[in-house]
Amino acid sequence: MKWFFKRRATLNAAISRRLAQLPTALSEMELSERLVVVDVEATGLNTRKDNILAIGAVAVERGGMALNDTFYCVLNREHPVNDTVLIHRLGPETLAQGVSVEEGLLAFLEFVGAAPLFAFHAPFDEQLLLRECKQHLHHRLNHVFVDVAQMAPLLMQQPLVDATLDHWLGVLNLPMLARHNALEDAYATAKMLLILLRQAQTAGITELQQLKTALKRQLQHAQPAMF
Amino acid sequence: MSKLKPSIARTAVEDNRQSITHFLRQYPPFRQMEAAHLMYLIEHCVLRFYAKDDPIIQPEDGPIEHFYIVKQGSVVGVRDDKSAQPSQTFEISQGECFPISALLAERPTRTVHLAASDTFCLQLNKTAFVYLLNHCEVFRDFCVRGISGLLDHAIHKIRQQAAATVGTQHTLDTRLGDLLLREPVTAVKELPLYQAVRLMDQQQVGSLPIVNEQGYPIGIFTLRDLRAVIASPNTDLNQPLAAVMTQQPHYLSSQHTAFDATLAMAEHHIAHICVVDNQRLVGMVSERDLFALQRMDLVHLARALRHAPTVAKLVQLREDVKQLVERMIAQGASPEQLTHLITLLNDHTVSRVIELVLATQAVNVPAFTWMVFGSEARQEQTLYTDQDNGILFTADTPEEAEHKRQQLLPVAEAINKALDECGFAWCVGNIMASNPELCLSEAEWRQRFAGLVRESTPDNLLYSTIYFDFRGIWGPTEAVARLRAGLLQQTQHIPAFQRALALNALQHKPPLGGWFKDFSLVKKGEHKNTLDLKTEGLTPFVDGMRVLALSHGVSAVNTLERLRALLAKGVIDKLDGEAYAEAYHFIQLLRMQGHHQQMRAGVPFSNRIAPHTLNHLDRRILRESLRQAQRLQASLSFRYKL
Repeated sequence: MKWFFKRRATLNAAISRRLAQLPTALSEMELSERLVVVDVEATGLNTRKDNILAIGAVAVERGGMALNDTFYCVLNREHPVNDTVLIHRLGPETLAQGVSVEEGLLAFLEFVGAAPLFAFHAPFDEQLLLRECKQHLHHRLNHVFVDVAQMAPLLMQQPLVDATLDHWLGVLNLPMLARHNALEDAYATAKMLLILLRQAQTAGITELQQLKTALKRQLQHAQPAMF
Repeated sequence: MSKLKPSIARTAVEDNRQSITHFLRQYPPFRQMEAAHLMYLIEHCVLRFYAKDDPIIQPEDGPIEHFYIVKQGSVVGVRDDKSAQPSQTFEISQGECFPISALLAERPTRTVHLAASDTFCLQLNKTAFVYLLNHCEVFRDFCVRGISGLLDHAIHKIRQQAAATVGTQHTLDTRLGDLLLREPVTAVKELPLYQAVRLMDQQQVGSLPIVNEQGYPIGIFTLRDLRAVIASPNTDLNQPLAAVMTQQPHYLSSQHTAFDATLAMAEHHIAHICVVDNQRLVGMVSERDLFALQRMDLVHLARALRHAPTVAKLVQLREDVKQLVERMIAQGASPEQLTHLITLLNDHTVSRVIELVLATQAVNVPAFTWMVFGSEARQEQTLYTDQDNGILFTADTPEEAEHKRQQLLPVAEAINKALDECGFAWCVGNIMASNPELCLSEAEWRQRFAGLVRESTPDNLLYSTIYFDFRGIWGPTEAVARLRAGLLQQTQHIPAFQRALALNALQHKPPLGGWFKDFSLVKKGEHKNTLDLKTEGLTPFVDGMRVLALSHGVSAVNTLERLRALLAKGVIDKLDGEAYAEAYHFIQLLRMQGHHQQMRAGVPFSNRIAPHTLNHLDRRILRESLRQAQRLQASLSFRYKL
């Protein structure tokens, strides 16, 4: 039992208290309620080994994105410089100025509240966040994740292909990103989401569960073609 | 627990806002707003998306709760009128805001605002909007004054640019009241001449107004008058001023501008003007007062033109005219003032040319009136002008008319040639007095005009648009007035002519693009990506006002005067009229600014402009101005059922 107490002990009382106050994630809701668009930058693409370096998020509510309802943090992590630095541009100096992993994750969870999470290529963000929250906060993340990369072909009535964020920005006539940064990516994804939510409304999809079902059906239909 | 270090986070958020800041900074009023106010605005904005044809706001939503800025895409206002008028009223493109007036008036919008394409808007709630109104002057100014505030801004900028090239920045709009530094030195009409002269010497004044008991100026005595008095034999220095003063001196009110005074001095060849308010003399404005404001050249120039001894001297003086115009633009003259001024100087030049030519004639030339047509008649000339003129004379019989014509034609030709030397380009269409068809007796002119009204052939319509704007500038004017009265009598009562002329007025379509494009421009060739400010911008207004003026018995010839007369008669709605005037004004201003720049660059004058070379604000106002031209044309086709 020694290991158990030791692990618990690393979480200080204040953090535990804040964790306890987090609301329960919603799994059924109207799409017009508050949704959070998230993007994480990590040390690499392996969700089992790589670590989160930065989190950016913006909220979308009633079809609008409030410009002051945003979140961004860089985590204080020691991370050997490798090729990925060229993508996320988070060098050792910037990382050293970041907040502790626990604090960053917790602040993010507080920002998210009960809202479902939307991300471009969501499984990547989901698995990283799931693992990191469990490891550092002993917190089981049970928020609904929706993949905006799958929503786009569904609602724009295009074949399901694995395309990049820039590809869809181009299709939707949105400005491309100057550089990759968790907040900017989240912001761009949110703009995409605004368009897609409007499309969803036309298609009669107004609830989160409806959307999940439609996405699942799309995946099933697409499966044979992928073989 | 490690300490929270929000600085990087804040930097990232700020970086992100930077892109929106950068976007907004391209447009008024955000460009001029303080950084803190702009940040406040951004922080209170919500970004929203509207698919094509989605309503953004509409009358049934009730009082407006938000202020919108188009971030990407475009919005159209559609008025759901019961009338048959076209329903699309305006277009709002990237960087522009709406619905300001409804928001300020706390009422619902009267116009359905639809997304014309897939559109993102920044939406600011009313509380934040009110906060900015109260705290940011630039924003308030923009919202309250709207497009006219923008117009002021643009005009101010044009003046600044012109001023930078000339190096002075006085305004011609200075009220005469502001120029009066001292109480006027006055005299009563009984004052002996020698005492009056002593008074003028003591007070160091060049003119002495003579007032009655109520303080109204009944006469003026100036140094010039003194010179005349002294020069005449047997001068009695004891005689009362009443005997030597100039009666009924020219006067203006203190609300008139320095420009008005300058113009009056140039027109009447006087050096002193009484300023009279409520029938009481309140001050004097002299040439020298205006000279201090550096706009005396006009008076001198007008005088020099009027007294030029030779055509060669006139040619020389024309160069001064160009320079004067340049300075006037710098001093902030409005296009209407400028075109008036150019016309005034042109009239002086033409009159002097006629006198000089007549002086060289060996035989007696029959009396005639020199008429001008087109822009010269409308007093809308710019530096870029050609001659359109004709001769009107009286004759009792066709034989007499023919005889006089043969005498007048060589004189007319000499005048046309001299005018050409003075820079009034030879008219390629031969609309000149030396053309026998334009050297006519009163009866012949009347016949000619009647023919044009009766038979609306394409040629005749074209002639109508030229000849029906006429004005006599030299010689007796009674016959001209009779001719005009007769013409209006006909045009007012022949609907077929009105309709044909209206149809003709629709020929020059304002070069506006569709919903997604600002302008429709020339696509290739030498004039690629340009539009013609004169034929495509001003002509719709000039033609439109001509049709309405001729249909409603308005005798004015100048386009803005026609507009004002039509407003007074209730033919044009007040708001529409103001919008037309403003639009016309702006296009004319751009055109003159272009001429000014071409003159400085030493390239030939052109009315073409490339909209992409304009700054955003000017481009937007130009587009709005052209839209007004389009509205005028739409109202014409509605009115005349075309």
